[in-house]
Amino acid sequence: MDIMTVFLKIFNMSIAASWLIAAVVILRLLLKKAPRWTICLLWVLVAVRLVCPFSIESRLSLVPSAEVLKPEVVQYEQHPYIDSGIPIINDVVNPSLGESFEANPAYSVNPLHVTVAIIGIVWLIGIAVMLLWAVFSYIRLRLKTREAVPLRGKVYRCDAVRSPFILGIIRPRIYIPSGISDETAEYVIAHEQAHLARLDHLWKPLGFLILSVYWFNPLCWAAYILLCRDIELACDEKVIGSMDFQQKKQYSAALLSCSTRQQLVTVCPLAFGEVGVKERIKSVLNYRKPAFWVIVAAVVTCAVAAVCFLTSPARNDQSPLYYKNIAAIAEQKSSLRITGEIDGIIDGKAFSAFIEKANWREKKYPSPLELAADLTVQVDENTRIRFYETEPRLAMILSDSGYRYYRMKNTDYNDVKSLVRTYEEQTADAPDWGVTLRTKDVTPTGLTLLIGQSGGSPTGELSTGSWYRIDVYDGIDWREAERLPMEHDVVWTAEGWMIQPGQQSEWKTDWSWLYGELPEGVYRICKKVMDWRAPGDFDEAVFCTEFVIGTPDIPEYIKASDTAAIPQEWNFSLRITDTAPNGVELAYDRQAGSYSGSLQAGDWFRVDRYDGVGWRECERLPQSGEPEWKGTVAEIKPNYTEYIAVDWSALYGDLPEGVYRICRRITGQTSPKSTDNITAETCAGFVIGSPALIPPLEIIFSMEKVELVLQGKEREELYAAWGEPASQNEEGDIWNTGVHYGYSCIVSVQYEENVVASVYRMHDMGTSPEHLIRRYSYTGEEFGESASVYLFDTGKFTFVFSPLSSYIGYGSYDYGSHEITGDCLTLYAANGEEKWVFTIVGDTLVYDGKASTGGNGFAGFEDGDVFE
Amino acid sequence: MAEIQMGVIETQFAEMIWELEPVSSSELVKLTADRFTWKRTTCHNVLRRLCDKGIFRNDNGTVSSLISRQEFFSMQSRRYVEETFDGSLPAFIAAFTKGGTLTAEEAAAIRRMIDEAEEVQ
Repeated sequence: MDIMTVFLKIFNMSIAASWLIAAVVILRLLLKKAPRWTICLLWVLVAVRLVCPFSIESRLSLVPSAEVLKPEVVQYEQHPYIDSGIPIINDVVNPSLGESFEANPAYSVNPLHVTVAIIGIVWLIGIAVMLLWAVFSYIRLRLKTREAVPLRGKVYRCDAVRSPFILGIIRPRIYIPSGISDETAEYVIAHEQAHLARLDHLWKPLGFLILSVYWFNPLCWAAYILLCRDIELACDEKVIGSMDFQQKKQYSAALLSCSTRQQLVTVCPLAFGEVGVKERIKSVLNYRKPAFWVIVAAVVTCAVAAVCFLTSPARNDQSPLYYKNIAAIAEQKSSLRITGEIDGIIDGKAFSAFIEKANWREKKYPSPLELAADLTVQVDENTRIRFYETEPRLAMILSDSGYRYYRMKNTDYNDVKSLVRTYEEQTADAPDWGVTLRTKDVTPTGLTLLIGQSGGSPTGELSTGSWYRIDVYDGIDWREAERLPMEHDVVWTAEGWMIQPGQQSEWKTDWSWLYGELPEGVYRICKKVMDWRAPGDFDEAVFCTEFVIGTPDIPEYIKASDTAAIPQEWNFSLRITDTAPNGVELAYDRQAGSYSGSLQAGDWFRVDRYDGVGWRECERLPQSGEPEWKGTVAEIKPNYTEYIAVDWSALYGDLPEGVYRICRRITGQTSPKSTDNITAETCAGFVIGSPALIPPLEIIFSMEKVELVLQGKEREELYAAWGEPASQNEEGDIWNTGVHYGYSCIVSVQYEENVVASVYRMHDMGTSPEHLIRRYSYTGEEFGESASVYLFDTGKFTFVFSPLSSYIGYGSYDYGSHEITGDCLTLYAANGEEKWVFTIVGDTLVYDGKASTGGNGFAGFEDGDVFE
Repeated sequence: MAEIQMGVIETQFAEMIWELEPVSSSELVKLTADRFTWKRTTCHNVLRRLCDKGIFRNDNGTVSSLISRQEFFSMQSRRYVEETFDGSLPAFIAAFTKGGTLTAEEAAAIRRMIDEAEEVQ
């Protein structure tokens, strides 16, 4: 705490208190009929305001600004400004203030900072002068009263004093001038004893002490002088309360006689001089016991003044670091993400309510503490609040613009913690909340998700957060797309979007930071949706929708024989911008490339449907023949995007939910010199509705058997493992492979002649990679992977024939002493029936087809073939 | 000699000396400590001041008067009356004009206000 900070604090408190002083000065006039002690109460309020560095924020506050000149403004602001709370004053002062104290970034210290620091020193000197004056006055009076003589009790008479006063704080004594008559003295003593009873000998020095600190504020001087008067008046009222009128007259005369002798300085700090004698005498003579309702009104006035002026205005701090501003942000979110040691979510409204209620005090730290937060609330992308288990009264708000520490209530940390719901990704079947997802503007790095809601039976408010996941379809199953390598775990920010009933909202995402640029393929995006009923009472479910990037590299069922791939020279790409069941809007994007001539796009198109294994053209309407295509509809120039709407309702009608692609043909040349036109075909994938892609096969694998359950519709061209067409099979049919040779299985999915996916599953029977001794492979295979024999140091072997075979040999071989010895290797199948025999020739195995009984599982090797 | 003045307390102290003179200063210290709660130094200070005024003299610890009690009061009676404020207006104004924050007219007006005030009910 340097002098500047302290002075600014005092300065700001002084201005805040000035409003109260002004109010008390006015109320004093209005409360003329009220007992004076109520006005003294108002001065107590002023003292509290001046002494107490903190004030409760309230909307009822009439103080325009609690912090006119902020320390951070003085220290760091290039154009310093004040926040008086009154726009006109700000407008008048700030331009010239900002100009005359404009900070030069080249200097390390703000000119205003320097000025305020100098003023701070002057202020300290002033305090010293004030206190020295008080000490001097006290000593002077002590010297004067040495010759005082006790009259009775605490009362002393003294030649050297001219007016009565009380001296001393702990053992106060009343001194009266020696020359006054006994009758006068009685009244004077009664007055002074009333002071003692009221503890005025403490209040007044306290007032002076406060004045010493606020000596620079004229209003404080006014307040002190008025306070002294009001103390006298209140004291008079106390004395005369029980007097008759004649006594009041005599009392008044006594007052007058003492005041005429006045020599002491009126503001003499520690003793009582007489103030405003005429006013006092008038009050005394006109004194009437105030009516009860007047007292009540006066007390109520005091209470109102306390509420209006002891409070500070609810701060108008726009800084994202100001904790109250967090409430508004949090309220907009259904849930906020919690990170740190505690992982989970916190309800946005509940957290907002917590912040609204909280009363935190800013706490200055020179630098961010190197404390690990136990609980971090992600308020939005840039702002988070950190809480600490070990420092439960500390909170830190971090944002782009810096950090700010707060001191909280003891219980606040646990209150926040109790709001947290630990977070579990639910991937259960999506409930019927009427939520539909649709994708739009798909690019390899992002898309726009259209989240719609209609019907269904949500029980609360639906919302979705920032979390999402991209899965890629590998032909058999969904798995999450490969994430980019990252140093830290992904932190999902905690913003949320309401899903309004019956409406559709857009949610745009860019996953280049998470997945990078995704290759062509069939994907789905999964979003978590929350059905929020009340704080802490909600369900979550994950909803997914499929989308396609580019033309997935899956063997094409239909190939346009007369087309080529898009030449690089064109720098051309096709993009879907919107979809509907009866058409799409797409964009021809063309960047500048090595060929700058224009390309022609015809109106030819074809829509293919993805059936989980491959693409095939959608079924055309019976009445539609081959349309008459035109060669040129649009010219596509470099650095140009052409938007085209395609309506296929005449050709395909309304397409059902599903994964589709649309293919277009582009014609052009690749260099200015060439005259040959190239026609290239390019496709872009899109999804209609929210289809669930069904893997073609469900694989049930056990020790006894492998079952392949055909999923979805009949798939004529689907081959699985055996090379038999699946056309004889219908949905739900089970292919039982039988596990003749062991306990492992490869399932391959084949489309026409191409393997599109394969899954290899195997029980660990001592055949894990660390046990592998060596592998012999047959190199003569023309197609697919080589058949291989794997020998393990556990005495087990596996014989993988071909990726196309679901069969795999498994069993024991003559292991010996970790070496393959002799000239013969026999592999015994685990079922005890089959065996494979090889002749060992040097480093290779020669298959003995005659001695073997196990067959070759559709692989290409025969008797005498060599495995190396 | 009209300018010789004593305050009420000084007068009480002087009375003590006139009554007991000649008296030793140590005896006075004892007495003032007892009656006035004065310290030794205070007693000596007051005594020295009165000696300086020429009322008493202190010969090596023995205090005796230069001006008798009668002589002093005959000189001071008028002044004393003024100081005690017996309520007469002229005396009051005389006392007032020495200093203070009120002018003579204001003080008189206040005085009149007090005198003429009638009880408000």
